Amino acid sequence: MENVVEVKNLTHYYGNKLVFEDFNFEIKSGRIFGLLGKNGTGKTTTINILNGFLKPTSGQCLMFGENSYKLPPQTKARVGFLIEGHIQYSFMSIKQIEKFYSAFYPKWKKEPYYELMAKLEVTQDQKLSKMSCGQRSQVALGLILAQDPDLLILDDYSMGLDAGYRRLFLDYLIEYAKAESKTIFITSHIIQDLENFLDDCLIIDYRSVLVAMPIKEFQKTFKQYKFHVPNPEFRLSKNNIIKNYEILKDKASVYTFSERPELEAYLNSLSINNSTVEEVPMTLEDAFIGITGKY
Amino acid sequence: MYSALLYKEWLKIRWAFFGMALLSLLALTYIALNLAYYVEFMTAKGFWGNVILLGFPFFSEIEYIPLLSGIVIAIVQFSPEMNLSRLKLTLHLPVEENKLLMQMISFGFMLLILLFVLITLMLWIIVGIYLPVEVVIFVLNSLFPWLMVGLTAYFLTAAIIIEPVWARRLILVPFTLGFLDLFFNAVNPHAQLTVFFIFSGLLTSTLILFSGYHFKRGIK
Repeated sequence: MENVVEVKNLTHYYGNKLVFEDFNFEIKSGRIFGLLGKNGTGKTTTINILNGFLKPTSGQCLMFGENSYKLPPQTKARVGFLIEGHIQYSFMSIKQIEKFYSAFYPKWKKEPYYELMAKLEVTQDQKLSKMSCGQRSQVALGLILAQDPDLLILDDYSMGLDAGYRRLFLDYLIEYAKAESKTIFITSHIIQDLENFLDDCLIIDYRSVLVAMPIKEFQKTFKQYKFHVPNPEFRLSKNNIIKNYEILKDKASVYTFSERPELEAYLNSLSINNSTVEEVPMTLEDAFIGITGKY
Repeated sequence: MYSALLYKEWLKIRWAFFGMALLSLLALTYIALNLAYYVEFMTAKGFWGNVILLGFPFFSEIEYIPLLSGIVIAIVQFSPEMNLSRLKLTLHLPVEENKLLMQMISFGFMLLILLFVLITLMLWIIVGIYLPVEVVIFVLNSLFPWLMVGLTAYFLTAAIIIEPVWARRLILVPFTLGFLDLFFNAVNPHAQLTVFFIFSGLLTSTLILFSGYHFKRGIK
C-alpha cells in the first residue's frame, strides 16, 4: 500500500520548549489513522506542520510524496482539512459557501453537502454565524465530503459537539471513507467515539510516542491487571513489563503489553501473591488512560 | 477560481464600501452647498482668488475620507481572516499562496480606486461648475496625495492585520504613521514627488506577502 503521509525524524520546538523529538510515522492509503494524546502533546502542532502552516525545527513531512512545507496546488486539492473547532467562513450562508468552494475543486460533488444540510433545520440562506456549533460541524464536514479529497485531515472533530452530532459526524464519515477508500487522519479528545472507527493509532505523550500500531492489536495486546499489594507503602516502577501503574491503598493496577505468565513471574519476584492478580477488561478510553496516565 | 475569491472578498467588504461611498457623497454634497454659498456671497472671481492666493481649504471635508476608507476596508476584509485563523482556510485553497494574497489585496485596491475615481469626478464636476480650470487643477492636485494616503493606508493596514508577529506589528505601525504623514504634508506635489507617491504607495502592497509568509510558516 502506498504511503499517503510520511513523517520522518520530526522535531519541533516552540522557543526553547521541545514539543516532540525524532517523531516518525506513516499513514497508508485507505486507512483511518488516529493521532491520540493528552492536551498539549503536539497533536495540532503535527497537523499544522502536515498542512504546511508551521515549519518544523527539523525533519520532514511528506504528503503524497510532496514536502508538506511547499505543497503544490494540485496536491492541496487532494487534501480535505477540518480546522479545530469546525472553523469556516461564518459570514457566508450555506448556499454561498458551497458556491465558493465548488469553483476550486475539480471533483466537487454538491450532493453529499446538501444531503447533510437537509438533516439540519436551517435554510440555505442562513449564515454560518447564526448556526449552532453542531450545525457548523456538519457544514464543515459536508464541504469536505463535497470536495472529494483523497486524504481527510480532521483536527479534533469532536470539539464542542454533543453526543448526537458526534455520532452523526462519524456515521457519515465512516460510510464515506469505506465506500470511497479514503484515507483519514483524525485527532479527538473523546477517545471512546473512535473505538470502532480507527484502523491504526498513534498515541503520543509529551515528547514521545507511546504506541504506534493497528488499533485492534493495541486493544488485544494491552492489558490491565489488578492485585493486592503487601502494604500501602509498596512501590512499583515503569519498565519493559510495567508500562504504567496506579496504587490506591492496598490495591494496584498495572498496564502491560506482556503476557500474563511473564507479568506474574515479575510480580512474583516482587513478593506479590499471584492468586490476587485478575485481568480487568478495558475500553479504548481505559486503555488510553492506562498508557498515558491520568495526569 | 479568481471570481470565486472575489465573491468571498465582496461579501466581506460590500457594506463597508457602500458606507464609505455614502460618507463621501455626504461630504461632497456639503462641499457643493458650501461652494454655492461662497460663490454667491463673494462672487466666483473673489472666491477663487482666495483659494489660489490664500489656499482657502473649501474642500477639506474630503481630506480624511480616503484614509478612513483604506483603513476600514482593510479591517473588514482581513480581520475575519485572522479571527480564529480563518486565513488557514484561504491558504489551504488549491492556489499558489502569494497569488491568493495578491488577488485578495488587488480586489480591495480596485474597490478603493473605484471609490476614489468617483470622488475625483464628483469633485471635478462640483468645482468645475463654479470655478475656472486652474482652480479645478489645484483642487485635484491637492486631492491626489490624500487618495494615495488612502491606498497606502489600505496596504499597510492589511499587512499589519495579517502579520502574526506582534513585534513586527509594532514596527509596522510607526512606519505606517510616518509614511502617511509624509503624504499628508505634500500639498500640490510636483511631478517627481507624484511619481514617488505612486511608486512607494504601490510598493507597500507587497508587504502583505511578508506578513502572509510569517503566518503560513507559523512564525510567532
